[in-house]
Amino acid sequence: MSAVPARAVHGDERTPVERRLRELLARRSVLPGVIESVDAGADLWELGMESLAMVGVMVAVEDEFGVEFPDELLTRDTFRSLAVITDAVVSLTREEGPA
Amino acid sequence: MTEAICRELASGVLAEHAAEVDRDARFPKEALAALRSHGLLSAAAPAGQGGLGADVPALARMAARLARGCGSTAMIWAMHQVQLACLLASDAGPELGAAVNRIVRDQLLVASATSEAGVGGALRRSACAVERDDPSPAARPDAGEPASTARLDKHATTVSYGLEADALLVSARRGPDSPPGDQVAVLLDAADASLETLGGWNPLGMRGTCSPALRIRAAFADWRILPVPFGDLVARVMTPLSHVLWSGVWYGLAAEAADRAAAHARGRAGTGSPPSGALAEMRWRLSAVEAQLAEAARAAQAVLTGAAEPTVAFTLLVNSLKLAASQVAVDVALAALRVCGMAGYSEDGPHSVARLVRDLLSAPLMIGNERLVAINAELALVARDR
Repeated sequence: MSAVPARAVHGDERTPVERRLRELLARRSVLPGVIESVDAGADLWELGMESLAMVGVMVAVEDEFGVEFPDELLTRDTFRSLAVITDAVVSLTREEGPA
Repeated sequence: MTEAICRELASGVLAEHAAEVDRDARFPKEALAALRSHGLLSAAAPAGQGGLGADVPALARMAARLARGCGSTAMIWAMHQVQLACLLASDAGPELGAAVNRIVRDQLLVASATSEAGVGGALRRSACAVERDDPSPAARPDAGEPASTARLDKHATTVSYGLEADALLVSARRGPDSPPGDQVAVLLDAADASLETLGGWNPLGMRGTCSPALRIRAAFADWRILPVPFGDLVARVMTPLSHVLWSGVWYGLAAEAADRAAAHARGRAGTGSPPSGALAEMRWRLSAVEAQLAEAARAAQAVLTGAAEPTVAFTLLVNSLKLAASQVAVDVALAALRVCGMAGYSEDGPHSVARLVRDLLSAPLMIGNERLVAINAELALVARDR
């Protein structure tokens, strides 16, 4: 939870991550026809994402960005929207990567 | 204190009616009345609200105690505590809050209608939806009973004690256009709902839970829709607490079977042959489940209070408890049956384990273990230490 940064501060970092994330989920047919254009803040659960699909998303995001979510971030809340996943990825890559 | 009462009731009124409840597949009304008279139906509610304030580890131990007298009664009690915890965890507005308070104060019995025909046994998918005649229910200026603006019509495949309950917690899609996974839970008064039994109830075990298929139709006011999304409620309260309290029941049934096997072996101690090694095996198997149960109960308590989040590792932990407890309890009961021989196979007598075995055979089916194995296999791909 502490790993989620204030979004406004890191706006430039977030845009490419969010785009890659959206493309990744589209490739994996998560909410097909919806994910391509949905608002980044939209609740993916309300849009019909299912629990088992979420595990696939977790694995795909870790592989795509070369990060490993600590268990406390492996929750429904972290994977609620493109924006929240992006925040988590940005924060993890900053911790782990060369920055 | 509370556990002592559970033990006393189990060996008293619960055990007294258990065989008849089982034989006739009827609701254990005497046992439920006794639980009510000791405030046990509101065990999970905070003391300040009129409950007993029992935490999850205490609830699990109570479930195990009750199961030794009557598995059906213990399972009804356990399921009711889960529904109560769901209601208490919902950030309720004034009207829903008052309804929940009344449930706690009057110890009303709450059943769950989450199963549904056509969704393949998946808790997290609904076919039926909350429907409205008027898509934008405006605030009504007239005082008095709020109008029924919403309705639902659900074919639930298994509603334990549904016809005996005072209230039902029913899952449904949020609206007619919502995807199957976007669900809400609705608290219905049984008096306001039309319940139609579809088919009979004549199962192998847990016969007193009276869990037929029901068609549920109701019109209701909007405040009866729990504000918390059903998926969050399932992850935080319903699934962990179900697995922990059901496992408590199964542990109690298996421990009772092991005790009966030991009693049977004692009665034959004069014959000169040493007691069966199965008696030792039952003990280590039970110890393992007991420890796993206590650990999962502590974790579930932390998630219930918000001190911890329902993470992947937590979900794996409670699912693993369910898988292990449901299988080990059956193994222990079957080992007890082998030790007791024909005395155990008989439905009558002090060394009968027949009903215990039959009750326990439901354990791997309640949220089917095959489904749970498939889920845990996926979760294992991202599992890390908690």
